[in-house]
Amino acid sequence: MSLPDSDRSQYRRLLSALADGDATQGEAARAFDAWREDEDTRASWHCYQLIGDVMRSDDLAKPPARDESFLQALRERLADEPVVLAPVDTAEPAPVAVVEQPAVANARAGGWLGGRWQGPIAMAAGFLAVIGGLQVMRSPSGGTTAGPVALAGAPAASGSAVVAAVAPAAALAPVPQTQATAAQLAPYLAAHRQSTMNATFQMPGGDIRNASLVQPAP
Amino acid sequence: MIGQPSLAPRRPARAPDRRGRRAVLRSARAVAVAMAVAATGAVQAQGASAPAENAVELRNWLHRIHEAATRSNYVGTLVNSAGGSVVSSRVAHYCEGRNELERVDALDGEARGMLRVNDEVRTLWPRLRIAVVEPIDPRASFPSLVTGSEQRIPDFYELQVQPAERVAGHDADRLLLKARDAARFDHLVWTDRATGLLLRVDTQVDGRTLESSAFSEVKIGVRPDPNAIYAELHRADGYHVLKPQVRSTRLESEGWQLSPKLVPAGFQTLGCVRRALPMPGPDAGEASVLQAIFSDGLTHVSLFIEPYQPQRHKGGGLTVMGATHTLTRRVNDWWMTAVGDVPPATLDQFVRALERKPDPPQQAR
Amino acid sequence: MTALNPDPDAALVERVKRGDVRAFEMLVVKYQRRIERLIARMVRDVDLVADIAQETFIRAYRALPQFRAESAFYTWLYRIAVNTAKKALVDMKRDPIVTQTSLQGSEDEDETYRPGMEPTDGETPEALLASKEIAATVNAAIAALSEDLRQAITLREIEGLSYEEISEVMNCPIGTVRSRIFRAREAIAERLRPLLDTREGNRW
Repeated sequence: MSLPDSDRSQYRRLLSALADGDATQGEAARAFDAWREDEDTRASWHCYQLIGDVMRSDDLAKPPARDESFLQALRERLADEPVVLAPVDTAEPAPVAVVEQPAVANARAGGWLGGRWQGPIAMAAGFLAVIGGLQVMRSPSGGTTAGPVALAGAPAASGSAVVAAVAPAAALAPVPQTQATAAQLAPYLAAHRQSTMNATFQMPGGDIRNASLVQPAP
Repeated sequence: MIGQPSLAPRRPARAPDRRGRRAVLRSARAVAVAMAVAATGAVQAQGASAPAENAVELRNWLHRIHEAATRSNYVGTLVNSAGGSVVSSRVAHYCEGRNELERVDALDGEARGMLRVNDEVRTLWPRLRIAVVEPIDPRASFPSLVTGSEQRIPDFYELQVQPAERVAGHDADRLLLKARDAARFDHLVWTDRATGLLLRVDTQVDGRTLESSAFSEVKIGVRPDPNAIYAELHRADGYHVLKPQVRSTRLESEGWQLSPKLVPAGFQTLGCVRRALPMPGPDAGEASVLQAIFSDGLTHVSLFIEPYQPQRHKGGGLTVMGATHTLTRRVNDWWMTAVGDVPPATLDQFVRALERKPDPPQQAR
Repeated sequence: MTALNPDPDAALVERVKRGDVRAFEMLVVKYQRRIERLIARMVRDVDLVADIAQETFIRAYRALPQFRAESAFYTWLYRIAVNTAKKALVDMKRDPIVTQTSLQGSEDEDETYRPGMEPTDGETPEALLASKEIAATVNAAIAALSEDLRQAITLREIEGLSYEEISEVMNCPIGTVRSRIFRAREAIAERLRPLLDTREGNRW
């Protein structure tokens, strides 16, 4: 697929900003999508990077053929590498509305620490909740980084008689999660994981991601 | 701050010791059996395979995986992806004689680590200099030994052998444990072909991955380095130690019972504890909570029960993190929190299956 | 990383960590030439340089979950490249078939080393000529830029300043910095693309 010329300039601008670390999350997300879909985007990225290299040192000037075959060869090897990270499936429509999480405050405007754990959460009543992992915070959905979608419990179509009729989907739609509710749930999650660690089909050390601590504030 | 543990083997990995070698041979034979069973079963793989055939095969896999988990010496980097967020940790596991040692260091977020010596787990928080000590319940770690779940799992999951793949540089066998009903999720499992060690587990529904935990790299069969655990334990000597109270109990003696018609199929009670959970909130820092743990042999659900307190227990509803769902709800004077890697409807059923026992009739004096 | 000098690769690294393999390709395209040049200072055989470079990127991909942004991504990648090359050298020294000419001792780590065109084994005269042409085109295009555009792109690519720093130096808003750098790149690219577009179909 290739983009119409009017869009090309737009995407090239995004690439230029992305190359210098100045793209916002939304811009970068669009640039990544363009990289997947559009040959011109990929070629422009290469071109901009080559320009930078050559400006720094003439001996980095190279005709693209070798670079292209390098990437092709690496692609094949990367295809062999299992993608250990859960695929972010953006193509599928959400059966239930994806809940927009409030953005976690981050230090830099347009910075990439959005959604990243920043430190302990001060609770209103003078308690300190330290939540170990990032799991509890969902990063703000910047258009294309929506994670797996919440499910409404669908009644079983199978013959299992014990599975009773299920509450209507609306009653089981997920609630928006705030830092406070996340901190609220953290001890339960931690206890659940701790009770079930080392179960046969669990990867080791699973409870470290939900480990949490609540202490009276000093 | 727990720095990068020196988990690299100091000498090249040696051949497993005699006991290890016997275990490997036993496992290899088990795999051969499993493969043979799989081969004959493969013809029927197109349609659903019946539970009886699955049971034998599954038992072999279970044992192999469990053996490898408890006996292997390995070091690796574990990556868990759920809900768009990725958490990594560094994991080391050593078998020293009859002792099992484990060390996990978080690579993201607040600095924290976990040290395990057999059934005692210590979670360290270096920045706060706090150590939390908790026992783990061996019943939860290998349910099939205790509850015969190897018989039950095939009733609720269909075992489908999948084409092999490579994970973290190792040849891996791949199994799909496909849920036979909508009360549970599918589990896709990769095991190291040579040793049976779990390399990756994906929780899926309708072919979509909700959560994935995998080694991005792992060295299996390293020379055990118990000092990596003991030295770290020693380093945390000055930490403030917390030992949350955990006391074994029974639902019935706490005044609860489960309505058998409503409990989701296949789930049995593994145990029940009363524990002190640290709570953010206006009153005391800990709440006494009852936790009942259920399992269908493969996955677990925890049901937490405590008295309802309006200041602390607000709202209520469903939250989702990857495959893990949490449901909170007020039921009369009680506050329920159900947690598990299961569909929300299953959690809902657990909450509704739980009821107070009727008061015993007044005895004439 | 400090607030004044954030790692420009942070967004890409973050994206790779979320499972986008193709975002990793963007990093490869960015650093492949520099990594190969670094390795070429240690190993003379051109095919071996490419192999070691491939190995470097694969290792980086596998180890990315462990990368904690305490250093810049390129610094981390650089170390992986050096280690991978060293390991290859050690393995080669053990191999009696490998000749001395494959090995080279220097470990010059100067990023902006400019000795002129260094002939590398295996480059055809056509490729050498094409390289010279590319370098000449880029340099000519830069010389032809207006002062503002040239200064902006030079501060970014050669001095390595962030947009914030450039906006201070050039006393203009960051949006203007972004725009000037983009226009400079496009002006150079316009002259360069005909030299690069020599094949039909998808090259990248």
